[in-house]
Amino acid sequence: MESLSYLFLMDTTAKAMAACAEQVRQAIFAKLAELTSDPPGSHASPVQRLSTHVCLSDVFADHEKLSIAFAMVRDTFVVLDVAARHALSSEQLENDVDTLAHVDLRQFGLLVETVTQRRKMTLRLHRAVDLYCRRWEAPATCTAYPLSRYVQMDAAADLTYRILIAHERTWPSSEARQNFKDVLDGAAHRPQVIQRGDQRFLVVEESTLPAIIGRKSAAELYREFFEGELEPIEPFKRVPGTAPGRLLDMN
Amino acid sequence: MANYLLGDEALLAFLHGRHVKQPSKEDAKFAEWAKNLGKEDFLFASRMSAAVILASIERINKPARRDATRKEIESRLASFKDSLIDIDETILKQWAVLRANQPDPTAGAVSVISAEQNVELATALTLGYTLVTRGNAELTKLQSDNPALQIIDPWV
Repeated sequence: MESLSYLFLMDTTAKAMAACAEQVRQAIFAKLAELTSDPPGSHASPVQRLSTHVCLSDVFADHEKLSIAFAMVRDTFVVLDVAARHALSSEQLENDVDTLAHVDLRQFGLLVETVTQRRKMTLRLHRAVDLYCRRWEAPATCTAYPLSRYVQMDAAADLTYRILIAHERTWPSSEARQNFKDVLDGAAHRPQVIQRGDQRFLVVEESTLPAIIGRKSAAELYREFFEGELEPIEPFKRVPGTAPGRLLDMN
Repeated sequence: MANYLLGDEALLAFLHGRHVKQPSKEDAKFAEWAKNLGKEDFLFASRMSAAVILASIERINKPARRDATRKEIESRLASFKDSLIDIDETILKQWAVLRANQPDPTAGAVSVISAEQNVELATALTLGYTLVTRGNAELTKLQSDNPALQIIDPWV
């Protein structure tokens, strides 16, 4: 589906990606496509029940190249930054948000202003939601785009929103919210896939980007250590006995 | 595609590679397991496992050997730098559950599962990775209590 072939980035991740060399960016795209080409069933099934939202930023002019490059690789690419994940994981904020259940997402940015406790957390969440909500308006940066491209992007984001959220309510149940938090927590370690019908959405946290490009496969590590020319190092043996003190004897 | 979490001994064995002096049959089996790993498989390790190795190095008696080994191991660990897993809150919560259900050393109970290995177990459980470590009766019981826990012992 062409209208979904866009890259959605939170600000910080977008900047991190934009700062990468073109060759590195392409390698990241290729690696992400490879990682999500066959998502494990354990990822897809719990999140299928989700009915929640993902905060998206606008595709700013600086990142247009990224979106076009990624469009050739995958359908949709959703990135959440660390701040959003932490804000959404805040226990206190969770309680606050629970009181706001069944609220239209498009009003959410205004309603969180009434949450005064843990102000910093609230502000971070507000920022994330605001980034999403701003997409509903025409930001100044978009005036640089040909009108047709902006309309196309808007339609893509609109469709993405509807596919992910299914309806306009947020977190219809504690289970749904918990499932989404699990996805976000998992994204801290590796890309997560959210399945929505025939569409798959990739959730990537900024901190994992360097690891995605730099990680070696087991076969590569085998070649390096078992077939490479390395100097022998001290042998070791397991220290017998019981815990604690379970170290490896290299004497 | 499989994700393996190398325990401390497995990580050190991998860092040694084929350069093991007087390799035993067990070493050969470990090497055979490593050889069969595919390009779709990934190896990870907890930072705790790396710390156990570094602590072991600090116990080497001869200073010159200790320094040389530390330098070499740290250099080789660089190849794993993107595969070392931090100990975060989720892992620590899992660690707490595991630890609470094991024999209480303050009550005189004896366990072969150390606090460090519990971190490895908690990391493997949290991420759904297969822990590569030597098996024992206590780990077998732990697996029966936690069906999601996957352990492989390549030395046997």
